[in-house]
Amino acid sequence: MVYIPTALRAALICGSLLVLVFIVYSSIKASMDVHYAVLWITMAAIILLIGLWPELAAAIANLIGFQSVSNFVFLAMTAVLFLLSYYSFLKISRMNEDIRKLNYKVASLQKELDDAKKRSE
Amino acid sequence: MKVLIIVPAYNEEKNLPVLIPKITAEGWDYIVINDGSTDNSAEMLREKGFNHMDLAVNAGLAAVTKMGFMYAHDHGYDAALVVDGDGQHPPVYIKDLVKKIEEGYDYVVGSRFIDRKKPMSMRMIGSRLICWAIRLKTGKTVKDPTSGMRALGRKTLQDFAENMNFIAEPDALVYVLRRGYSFSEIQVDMEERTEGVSYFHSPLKSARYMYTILMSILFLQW
Repeated sequence: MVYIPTALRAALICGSLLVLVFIVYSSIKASMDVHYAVLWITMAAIILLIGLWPELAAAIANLIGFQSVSNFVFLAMTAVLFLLSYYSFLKISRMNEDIRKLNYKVASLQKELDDAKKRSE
Repeated sequence: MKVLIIVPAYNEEKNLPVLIPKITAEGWDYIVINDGSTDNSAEMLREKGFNHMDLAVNAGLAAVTKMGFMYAHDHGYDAALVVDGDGQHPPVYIKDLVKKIEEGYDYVVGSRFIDRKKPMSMRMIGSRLICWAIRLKTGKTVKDPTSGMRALGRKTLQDFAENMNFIAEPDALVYVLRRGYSFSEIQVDMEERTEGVSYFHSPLKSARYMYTILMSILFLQW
């Protein structure tokens, strides 16, 4: 089993707790879309779990065969961030498509309105 | 009292022609909000001359209901009531909900389980879990938190038109209860949908819904 000094353990718990509180608080304050807020709260909760119980990360790292726990944590975090960033790109391109559609809709409505005005003059 | 019936609809071209005459027969104002349907809803709505709005882009049920509330608020309605476009909310109960609003309640839900027992299906186990979360958060007991048939009075209508950030009915209910609005549930009997598909047809989607709704109730609604 890995040995974790008390000061480090306290720092981990405080840090991860702060992250969770900050995310919950600012999501509410900025009224972030519930779906995204839940995603981020889940991430913060996982970080808190690792902070409270670093042995869990160590056990998983050992099980898979990582030489050091920190390598495993770094890789896992990078993978999660990679996926999240991919997901944002996906959302952005969807939104771009939606904006194009709306843009077209507004323009064609404006044209219809202008044409109708012209006819009535 | 000026009441608007909001009918959110996504691919309901078969259900709407049955539902709308039932609403107009009772003499209510209504608006169908067509959420970018991929079937022929838009043509059908125009041909039949139903009062409606077509969204250019699919927005989802929560966003559509919010637009309905904004519309009702902008057009000076005193109350608004949501009746799903799939026909599961029988319009005969509209007057009962409106009566409660007239009595002064801010938020009235048409509940399936006031006089009837809640069955033991998967969906209703989910409903029980949501009830428990709502009791934990607000201390109040709600019989049917997932019912989409609800009426809003003037105050809640304005609030929802301006600051609504919910994914569905249960977290909206928590918002209402936490803000101290008066709330009432009355018995309605709902119908199974006859045509089309529900928003919840896959287990994965249902599980995701449950998780998101519970997180929203417990952490995000204050």
